[in-house]
Amino acid sequence: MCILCYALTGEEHWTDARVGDERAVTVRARRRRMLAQIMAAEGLDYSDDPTGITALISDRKGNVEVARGLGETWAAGERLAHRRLDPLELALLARIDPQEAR
Amino acid sequence: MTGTGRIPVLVLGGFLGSGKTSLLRRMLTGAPETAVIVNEFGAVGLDHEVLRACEERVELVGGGCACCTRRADLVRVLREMLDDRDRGRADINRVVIETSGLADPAPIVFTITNDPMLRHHFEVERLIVTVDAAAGREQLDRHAEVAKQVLVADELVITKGDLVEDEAFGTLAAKLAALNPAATIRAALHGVLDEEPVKVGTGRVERAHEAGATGHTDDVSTLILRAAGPVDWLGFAVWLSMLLQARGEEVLRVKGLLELEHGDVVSVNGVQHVVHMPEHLPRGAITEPPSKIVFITRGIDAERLRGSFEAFQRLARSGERLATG
Repeated sequence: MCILCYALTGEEHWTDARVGDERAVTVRARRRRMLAQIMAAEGLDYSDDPTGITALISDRKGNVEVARGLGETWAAGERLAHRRLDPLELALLARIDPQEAR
Repeated sequence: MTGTGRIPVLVLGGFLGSGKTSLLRRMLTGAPETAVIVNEFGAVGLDHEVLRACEERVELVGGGCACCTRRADLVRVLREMLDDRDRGRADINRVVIETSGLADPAPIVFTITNDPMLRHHFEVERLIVTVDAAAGREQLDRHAEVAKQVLVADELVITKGDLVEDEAFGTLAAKLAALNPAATIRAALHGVLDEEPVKVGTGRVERAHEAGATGHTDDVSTLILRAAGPVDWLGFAVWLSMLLQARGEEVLRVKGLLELEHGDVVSVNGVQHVVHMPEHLPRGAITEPPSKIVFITRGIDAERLRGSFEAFQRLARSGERLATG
């Protein structure tokens, strides 16, 4: 638990490992933006705290789920969307791929 | 001990009678601080200082998929070993788990990687699977458990090579290489492991395995994903975690090296839903091709996988421009 904000830190997910030399704050900002775009393509909203540990995923009817780490984030998104969030689905790729948007 | 201070765990699998115990006996020679976990005492006939038996007892956790299965027996035995070590009753610097011939190695990896206590004290070093040179081909075709063990292995050891002709040995090695191109293949005779890996396509092995080719069995295919340039780690991590959440049971194995910006090299290793923490390798550890990830999948279209990977890379890079500019 974080002694400043009392957030539960949860178990470390493999995607949280520090990789490369990009600044942590930049990685978190890029990750937040990327996840928000993917969730938006599924009709969901995504936001997270400044540490990037705790995320809120919500649908447009006001249902909200709290998730810690990417594993929980996808599972929460699937429960809210009532379907599998599949990165191989062409319709999803068409909505998030910057190349398609041009 | 590993660089992380955790005790390395070597998982030794292979079908019944494929030479696991001979290999294990040889491994234990001069290694008294290696603890061994076997399925049952009597069947192994090992006389080793730290030997524990655990009957396979599984508990489904989470969504109940096959790989996310907790081996409760293993948790208990590994915790006891840790306790013994901490109380000074045993010196342990490595653990070998010899699985039953029919065991699925994925739950072992899941258990060690996800148990809140064990994950801080142990780490899976590698999965070794023995394959009988004489009976291996038939066992692969007849027993799904054997094929699964081969698919998830880091190292495949062909045993009893003296019992078959060179051609049969070569055909088996080529079949194993096609099934799991990420694994190193070695030969062992009477438990003695050859230092040099088997070179598929040369010498003893007659049928060449074309590097980069896509190997197929009835429903399992192998895709080697290569990136033309440096990979965006964030784009890869978000993509792979989403893929494994959605399709974990269809992605049997992920293994490879990624070259990131500025020459950083990262090793990625996963068995179904379970991905090890990525490891940094020295810069310049890979030369050509820059990045190569092997996916062993069941029923996933290779082109769609590649297209999805590339779309997520573009998405991550579009965010990079905004975040830095």
